[in-house]
Amino acid sequence: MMPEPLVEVSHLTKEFRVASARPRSLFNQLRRTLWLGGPRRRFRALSDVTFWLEEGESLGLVGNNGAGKSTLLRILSGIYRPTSGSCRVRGRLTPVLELGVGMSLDLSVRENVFLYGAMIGFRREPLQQHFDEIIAFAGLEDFVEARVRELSTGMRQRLTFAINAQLDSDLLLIDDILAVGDRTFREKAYGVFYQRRRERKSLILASHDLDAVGELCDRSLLLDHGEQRAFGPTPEVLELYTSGDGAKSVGAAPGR
Amino acid sequence: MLLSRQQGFHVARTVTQHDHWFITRELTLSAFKLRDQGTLLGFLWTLLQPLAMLSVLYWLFRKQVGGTAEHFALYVLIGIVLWTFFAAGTAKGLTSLVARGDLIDSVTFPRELIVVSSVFTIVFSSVLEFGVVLLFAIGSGAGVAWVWLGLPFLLLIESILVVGTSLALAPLYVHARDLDNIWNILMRIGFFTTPVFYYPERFLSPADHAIYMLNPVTQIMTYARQMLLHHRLPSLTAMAGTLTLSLLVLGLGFLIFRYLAADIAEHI
Repeated sequence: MMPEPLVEVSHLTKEFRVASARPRSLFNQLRRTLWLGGPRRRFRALSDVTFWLEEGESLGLVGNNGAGKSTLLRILSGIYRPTSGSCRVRGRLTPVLELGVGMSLDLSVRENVFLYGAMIGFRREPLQQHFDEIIAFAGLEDFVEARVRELSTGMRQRLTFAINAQLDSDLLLIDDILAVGDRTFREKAYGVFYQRRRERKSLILASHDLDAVGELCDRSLLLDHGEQRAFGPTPEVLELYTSGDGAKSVGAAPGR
Repeated sequence: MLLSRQQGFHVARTVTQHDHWFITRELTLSAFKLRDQGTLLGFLWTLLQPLAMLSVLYWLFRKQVGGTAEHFALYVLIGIVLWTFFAAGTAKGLTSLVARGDLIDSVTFPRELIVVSSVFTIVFSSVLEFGVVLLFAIGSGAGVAWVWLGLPFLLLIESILVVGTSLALAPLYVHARDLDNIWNILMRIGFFTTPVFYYPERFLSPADHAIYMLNPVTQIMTYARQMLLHHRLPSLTAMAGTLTLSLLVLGLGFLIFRYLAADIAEHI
């Protein structure tokens, strides 16, 4: 019997209500609840997406902007609920969806390490143990007592990434955050991903950097306007994506 | 393993074991540090509001309302501090989720903690304010009594009430952004229909007074005054009743939160 996959997503669909121009007042909400507001417009961000990921494997999410990559990562993280279909994640996951967000600008770097660390799932002791490593990874040794407001955007992003990178988890979700960093930061971040790969820890990487996806990910999922165009071995999916022929689908891996 | 089944979809996920207490502590501490930089001066600023209100209300009503009543100033101060605790706590809780929309869209810890920690900053300052009430009681010659040991219990009941109310209001505010105005008006009405600076038993008929006493904040205020002004332990049955009511509000608030907060990230 094959072991249960780490991630199993089946016929996943996500629709958003299109925000109406009317203000979100109590009166309008009551009217809508009583079905007096007319039909609501809906936007389908993901349509019938099915894929899986075995333990130790990594998955690349590719597709143009608006394809649904971020929505998919937010559903996997539990931030959004699917409209229909199912989504199973076994093991602890760390979503890294935005960098530099969630910190308190007027608190010091030290205080933010604890505040942000707590919010992403650290317990107190491991955070104390890893504190120096986090600061060193972010390259902020001279700024430990500085307010985060005084840091550059790049420094803030490095700090949040450094805290996330120290968190031990079975699955790391990365949402195209590397497009923003400079070369040194990207090299460090990729260092973390390759290290995880050597340790057979899983990664789901949404990225426009197809070379990175090619090197890091065993399988890939190609999305186009919320539709699943392909799921399969990364080289085949990337070839399909770069050839611009997204309409043909790559067969699923054998055995499933 | 978290498993939730609802019509049409099904999600299963091993939840990262967040250290709830650690998160709440960090969020509360950081909000507190940010509000008044954790300084004595900052705390003095928060004290200034109840003391300013006390001066005005005392000066206006000391003859007509205070009259022959003993320790009218202390009576009013207890009212102001306990009312401000409820009004400021729920107002802070109401906007808490919208204020931290950045967190809701990027990290996954239980959202309840955002509400709870923002209310805790008010709990913390209210406890300090209540310390000032005690100093005021001693200074004004109202005496010290062992029943004061029951006061932390009253603050606990009120904290439960404030957290419960805030848990219901915060996700509602995400969907109805004029709720803060509505709540503000209700709190204005509440200020005058709670015995902050007058003696309701003097002019309400027994039947009206019974209805008036249904407000849990009024009940807590009454117990606090019995303890501080009359050194009497309030009826334990009555206090158990108020505690039960607060726990019901907390339970209901939690259910409303759970129902509304599931898709909150899409509406923030």
